Amino acid sequence: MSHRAESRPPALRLAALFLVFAIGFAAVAARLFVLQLRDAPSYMALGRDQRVRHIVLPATRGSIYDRDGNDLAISLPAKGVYANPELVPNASETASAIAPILDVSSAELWQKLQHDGSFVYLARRVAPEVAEQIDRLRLPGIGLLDESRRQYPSGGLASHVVGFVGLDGVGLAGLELQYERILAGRAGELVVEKDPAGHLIPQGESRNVRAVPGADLVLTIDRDLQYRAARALARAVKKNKARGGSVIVMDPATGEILAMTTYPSFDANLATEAPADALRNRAITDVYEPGSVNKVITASVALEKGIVDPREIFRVPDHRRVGPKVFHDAHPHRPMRMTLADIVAFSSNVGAIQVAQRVGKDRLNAYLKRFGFGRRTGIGFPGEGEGILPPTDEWWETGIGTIPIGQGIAVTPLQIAAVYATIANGGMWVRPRLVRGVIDGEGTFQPAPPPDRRRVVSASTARTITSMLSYAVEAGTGAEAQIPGYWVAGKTGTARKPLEDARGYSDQYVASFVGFAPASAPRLVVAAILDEPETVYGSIAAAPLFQEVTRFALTQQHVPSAHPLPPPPSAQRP
Amino acid sequence: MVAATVVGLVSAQALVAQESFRIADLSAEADRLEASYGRLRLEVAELSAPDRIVDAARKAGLVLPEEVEMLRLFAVGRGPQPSAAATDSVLALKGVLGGER
Repeated sequence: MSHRAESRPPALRLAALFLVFAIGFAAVAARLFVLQLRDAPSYMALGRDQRVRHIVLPATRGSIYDRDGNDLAISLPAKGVYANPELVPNASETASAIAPILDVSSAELWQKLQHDGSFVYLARRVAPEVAEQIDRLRLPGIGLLDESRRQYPSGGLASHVVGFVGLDGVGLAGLELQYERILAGRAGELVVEKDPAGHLIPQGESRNVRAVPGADLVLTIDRDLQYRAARALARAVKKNKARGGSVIVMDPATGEILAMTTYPSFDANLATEAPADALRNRAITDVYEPGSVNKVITASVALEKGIVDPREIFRVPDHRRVGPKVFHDAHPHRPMRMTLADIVAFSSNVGAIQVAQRVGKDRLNAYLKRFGFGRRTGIGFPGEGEGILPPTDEWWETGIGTIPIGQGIAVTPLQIAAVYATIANGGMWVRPRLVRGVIDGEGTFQPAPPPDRRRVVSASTARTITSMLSYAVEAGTGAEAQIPGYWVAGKTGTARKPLEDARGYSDQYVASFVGFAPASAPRLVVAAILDEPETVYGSIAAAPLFQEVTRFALTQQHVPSAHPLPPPPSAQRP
Repeated sequence: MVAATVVGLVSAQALVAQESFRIADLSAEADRLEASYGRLRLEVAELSAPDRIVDAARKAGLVLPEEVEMLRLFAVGRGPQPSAAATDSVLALKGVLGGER
């Protein structure tokens, strides 16, 4: 030890030591100040964030029922399984543990666990009992989220009407989309304090904003009738080797759609796997040229305006030139004596054109509009077609030949069903509807407001047209639509399809039969439409389909038979 | 006095904690019951679906009737009067129903 060091004065050393301690304490005090005063609020917030959990309480989506309360769409509690890959210690082991429970390959799960981030879904909408098995494994980095699972118990039944939801439970098509706001409800939030083990901290922060469940939707659809209509349509499509088709069953007095089915169909539980072409509700979204079923409008305006007397006899040849085009009846014939009823019943194109030329294009166009052509019915369905009804100044020279017989214009099957419902209703158009009402959160049924109505033709005109349509089924082209025990009114339609990428018509047809029963006291309007049947004609392809659906519907709805209508004046009846 | 207060506070805290755990258990039980109700509701809906009923009926050997015969009943003074054959049908129906003489 050096003499110099031994001789250092103790006071100086003490002072140095004091200085070191003083600086040390000052640093601690400064840090204390920073932690306890300056940054205290942010640290308190950090601590609070670790204890307080905000749990989203998903709102239960409302159910969709048929008119009798049968489930068409229901939501069940489910869980989403997620992973934080950064917290998963061994992706391979974790994947192998979960894969058999989720019934997926562990390679697939392993791939997901390689996700570059702190959140990845391993599975969505799994059943709670499955999620519970995963929860019991207590795997680090694996968690569960509350979700709900949409189920359509009848699969393909009314799937075009009901629609479907996406992975996030939001409506993507059909009424699920149209009534998203009503069905979805409002999510709630649960705020609680939990300890590191996940237990609730008694007397900790707690706040519960309850979720508001979505309202239930009650449709006008009758499940059993819907099933029978769908089955009959599928059979008719196969039998007639058609490309597709639609059937609508409607209550003319209320506008309620009792059945609406389209072929091809799809299972709403597997909607994402269905071809896009099968997802459209063609009865509402697609338009087609109606053909001879449109003659009912031509005849209506002629009667309504007093232009044609029902007893008047026309001399009808089998062809007629309109501008540059010659129109023909379906089959060659000598000039025939026909009343308006005969023209309708035997579906004479030439006769209908003769009548329309007297009516004039302005009046004809006005009544096509009054019957609802060229605008949406307002049924409340996404993507509803409005049809094509050109203004009279855009009609071709041949327009007064094509439009009275239902070519050169386009309508949806729903629009044409509404036309026949107007006649069945004594001349009153009633807005079709698919929803009877909603059941609110209190469980109270709130009926939909009464449908809009407007008079299109007089009751007298409607009655006369009905007798002509009844005659068409009794003795005309609609014989295949006869139902033993009932008098049926209706009309066949066989319309050529326009070319898709050029002017003119293809060799393909749309066959239809639209009508109602019982003729004198209509309870049901049925539209049966087949797209491109090999059997071509409405009388052969569509009328039997109409007959099958209507016969079942009359029995199922307990509709009594009614007396026949007096026959209309005819020059053809023996 | 102080000791009694401390014991009281601790006991109250323990009771609150116990209730809190019970609430958590009940909440979990409610979730389980809700899931079970949903499952059963789905099962009922699937079992009562028309296509399942038709399949079950077919397996049981039931068939749809080939022809449904409609019996027309006319009220006096409304519509056409019944023919003799129709009258027979009405009487036959009455017999089946065991109704009025």
